[in-house]
Amino acid sequence: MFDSHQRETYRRMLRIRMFEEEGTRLYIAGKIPGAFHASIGQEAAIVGSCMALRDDDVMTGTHRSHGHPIGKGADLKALMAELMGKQTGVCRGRGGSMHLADSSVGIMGESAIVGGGIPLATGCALSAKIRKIDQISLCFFGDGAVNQGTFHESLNMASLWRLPVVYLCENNGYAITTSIALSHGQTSISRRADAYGIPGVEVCGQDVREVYRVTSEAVARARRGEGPTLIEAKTYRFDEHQVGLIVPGEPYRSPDEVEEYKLRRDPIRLYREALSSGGVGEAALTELESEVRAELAAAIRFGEESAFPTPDTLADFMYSTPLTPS
Amino acid sequence: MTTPIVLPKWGMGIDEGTVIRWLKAEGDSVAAGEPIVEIETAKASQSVDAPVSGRLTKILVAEGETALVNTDLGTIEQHDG
Amino acid sequence: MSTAVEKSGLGAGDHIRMNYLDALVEAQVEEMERDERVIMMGEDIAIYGGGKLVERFGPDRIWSMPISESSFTGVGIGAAINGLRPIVDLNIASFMYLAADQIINQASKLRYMTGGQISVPIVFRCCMYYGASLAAQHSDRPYPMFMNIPGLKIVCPASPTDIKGLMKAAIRDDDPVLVFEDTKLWPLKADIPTDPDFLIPLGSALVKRQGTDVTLVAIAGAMRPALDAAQALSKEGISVEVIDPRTLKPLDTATIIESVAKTGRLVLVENAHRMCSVTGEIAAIVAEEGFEYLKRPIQRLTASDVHVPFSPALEGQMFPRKATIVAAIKKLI
Repeated sequence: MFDSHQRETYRRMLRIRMFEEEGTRLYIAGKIPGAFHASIGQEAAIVGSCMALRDDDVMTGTHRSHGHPIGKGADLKALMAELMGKQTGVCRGRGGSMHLADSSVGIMGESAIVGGGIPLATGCALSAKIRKIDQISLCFFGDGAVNQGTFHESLNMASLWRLPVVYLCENNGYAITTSIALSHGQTSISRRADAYGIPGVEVCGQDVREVYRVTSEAVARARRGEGPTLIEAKTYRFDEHQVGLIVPGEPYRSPDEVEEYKLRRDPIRLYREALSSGGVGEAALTELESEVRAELAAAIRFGEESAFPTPDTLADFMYSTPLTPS
Repeated sequence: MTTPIVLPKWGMGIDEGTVIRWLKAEGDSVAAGEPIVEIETAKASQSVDAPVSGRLTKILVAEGETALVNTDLGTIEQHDG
Repeated sequence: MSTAVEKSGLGAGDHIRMNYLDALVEAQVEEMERDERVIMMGEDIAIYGGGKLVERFGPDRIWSMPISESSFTGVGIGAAINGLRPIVDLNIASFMYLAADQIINQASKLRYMTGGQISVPIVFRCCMYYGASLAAQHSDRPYPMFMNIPGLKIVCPASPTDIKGLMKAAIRDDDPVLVFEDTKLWPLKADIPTDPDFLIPLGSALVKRQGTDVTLVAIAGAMRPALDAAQALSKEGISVEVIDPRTLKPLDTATIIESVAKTGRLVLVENAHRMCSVTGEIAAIVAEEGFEYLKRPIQRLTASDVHVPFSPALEGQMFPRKATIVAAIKKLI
């Protein structure tokens, strides 16, 4: 039995993995400009939490921005075209890799200023409360952002006003090269929730079913008007902070640690095994994997065939009402 | 002894006030603490109280005129003793 | 609470006399009345904020904020991108620096970076106190810094009528607008229109006084000594044309250049620091686009590049005054 929830969960995880793998390849080949931060290894934390949302819920993300829209159900074509800087890109070639926001699936911004999106998600939740709609705001950020003032200030306000927001920390253990041990006086992120009088939950971020369960509870709580929850999803990025990053000196994380995650704690492999042992046949899994592979190929083709924005459009999208003196 | 009635500094950003109404005329007796002139600032209308008991001898800022804070609005000649 | 216009019983088409601060409050109340998406946020705003607004609009529309300028600014931006039209009162303009990351990296950039997917209809109120012995951390006039940020609109009204019309236009605008109010102007009174749809479009300068000998452009609180100087000079037979840009971004340069074409002389006055000031920008534009009209070098009067001191004995010399403006103009004649 491969139910529609499982199918969609696995599909979105595969989409992220293949999008990042193909994206890395295209980046190295010079077809994607700028910087490239892959979410490989973090798919369960992203998809598990996004699957707990309704389509009309909103969310904000981070500079590691590719996974979030895909996790929320965005179409791959406009995302891939954006990475390539094309006019058909979801942000018309103005945002790029660190800012893959797709408002059609409720993404209200992917902030490459670490911690910058936390107040935005909080404000989206304030709006839902004021407008008396039962929309939830999901806020992604990393372990590094927890040390920004915006984290503290926003969680305080969300607690104070019992806002319908779920704070989801993708704790991959390292802010670029700086480990939690070297940057957090108190290494449990979920425990910080105590300071704001809200629930804090730690969950294995490699287990998509656990992330889904924990986030669903937080979402239900928020929808009941009982306020925010802080979730710490302990996860791992398999690749370097960004593609091509050269880290001088001794490695900041041991090769054994990286291997351990890749071999034994790969969220996609873990979920595939769980689906298999739950009775999903190999053929159904392989068929879905082929479908996603074909989707990726179509997205890359779409991006490559799309035109670059023309120079005369440089100032487009600056203002809603143009800046011309009357 | 002559004592000035000073336009007080009522708060941050309030640099001036306009005399709305003198509650006493020149020559009137006034008691310390008695409202003597009404002032309008950007934020509120307030009265200035007589600093001492005596006779209002001179009005220096007429009704409708605007003065900066710390300006002498008028003078009181204190009673002897 | 009821507003001054409501108390007066006047209808549209009438005018009512009120000061700059009351006109600003009136503009906000009218817009909150007109559009339930307009909310106000700021420190102590439920108590101050220009009147007992909570009684009228309820606590869902008036939000007193914890002292978290960076994040409550971001919370306002978040509310703006999700269906509301917040007025974020940053109170003293020096506090803007705490909020600057959210204003610059989020509010000003979200629309462009998302290819127009997200709009940010938000107003930031920034109140400039200076000349009041508050010392350097409470006395800044930081509007020139924000002019260097694409994606923002900036207004600097210098009269009760202008702050009402521009504030209302700012609230109705779909882009982030910084409204710099100047406490030096609070007591100014004028007859302002009661029409609830009275708006002043962003980007239109106002010729406050016609003249033929010199063009005098003054920003915000510098307008008061500028008008006094023009009045004094008229008695000496010097005819000064006084222009208030009113909006700094977009800046109505056409009105200024047209005036310079007539007078051939330009004096610029403001209370911000000199380096990279608005007057510097206007001088550059006139040099580029109106050089042939200039009979004499452009004169700029600003605060010097020194922090605002506490002692009145020092601060009193800090900003352009009527006498310094008169002297600068006479130098050109």
